Amino acid sequence: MNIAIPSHLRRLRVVHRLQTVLPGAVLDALCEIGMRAAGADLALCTVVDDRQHRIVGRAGTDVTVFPRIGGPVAGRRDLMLLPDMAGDVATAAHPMVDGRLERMGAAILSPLHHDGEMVGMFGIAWRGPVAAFTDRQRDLVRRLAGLGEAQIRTEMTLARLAQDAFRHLDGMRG
Amino acid sequence: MGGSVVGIRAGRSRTLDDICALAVVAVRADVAVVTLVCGGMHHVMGASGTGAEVFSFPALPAGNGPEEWHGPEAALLAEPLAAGIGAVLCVPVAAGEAQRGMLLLARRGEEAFAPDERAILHRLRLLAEAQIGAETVMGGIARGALGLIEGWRR
Repeated sequence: MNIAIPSHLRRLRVVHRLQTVLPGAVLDALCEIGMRAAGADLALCTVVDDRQHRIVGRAGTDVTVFPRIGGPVAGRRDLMLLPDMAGDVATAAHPMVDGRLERMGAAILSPLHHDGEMVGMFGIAWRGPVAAFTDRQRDLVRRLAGLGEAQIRTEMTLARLAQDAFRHLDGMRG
Repeated sequence: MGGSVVGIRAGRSRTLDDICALAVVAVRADVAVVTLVCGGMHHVMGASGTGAEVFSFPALPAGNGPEEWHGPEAALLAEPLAAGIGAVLCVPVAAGEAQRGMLLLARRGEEAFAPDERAILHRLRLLAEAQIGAETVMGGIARGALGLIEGWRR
């Protein structure tokens, strides 16, 4: 019997596994490169389930978890440019903006996809508003998000290979 | 191009190409390469801004690096990669216990690399080493699987 798994359940299963395998130096390095090269104040890489973002890579912030960002960010498949998050009613009351967790004033965010599903986000942010983002800053976020997705593929592949190897070993042991 | 030394695959990697393309943007360089040393020559595993595949580089930094060259010395060192180079920043890359290579950034003009750019270089090295490590593991698993299949066929 072939039962199709609903898309959102498939995504949650991937996110759950990513929360286990992803945190590590590579994603921290991507964030630090983004923050320094773009002249930003912080950078983060997250995996997201139905309720919250869990930070799996960071630079310039100690936050570990924050609620999903709605408004202009929900459902986007490309770059999200948020030049004045405190002045935008859709984001102003978010704890990463109003100071409860962080005080993000502006951000360039990119969704991270795995197997066609959005599983997280990469972004660089400033603590004040930004008049205009440069082409180079946008280019950096696109490239870093691409490498973040490559890292997700690599970690998922290695995790699956390890799981298969242990299963075969168990099978051989009887 | 490419070969295998000490169990490390010395071939082109799309992700290492992407890391080099990121390096060029992040550090405002003109050329970026990741290499592994094989038979005394540097084999390019990832690159941006150069078509070189195998080249000689006599000045690989000892220890952890980085090292920087300017002017005619930089131009001479980077000659196999691109013309008109005036500044070279280079750091060793470890691939397993026995194999070494480098991450090299080069720019036209003699502007020195800033402290922030050197910090970025160290993070780029971490990305390159992690990627080489992951590809080596996956390559080893693939070779192991092919060996098993070959064994069953016999």
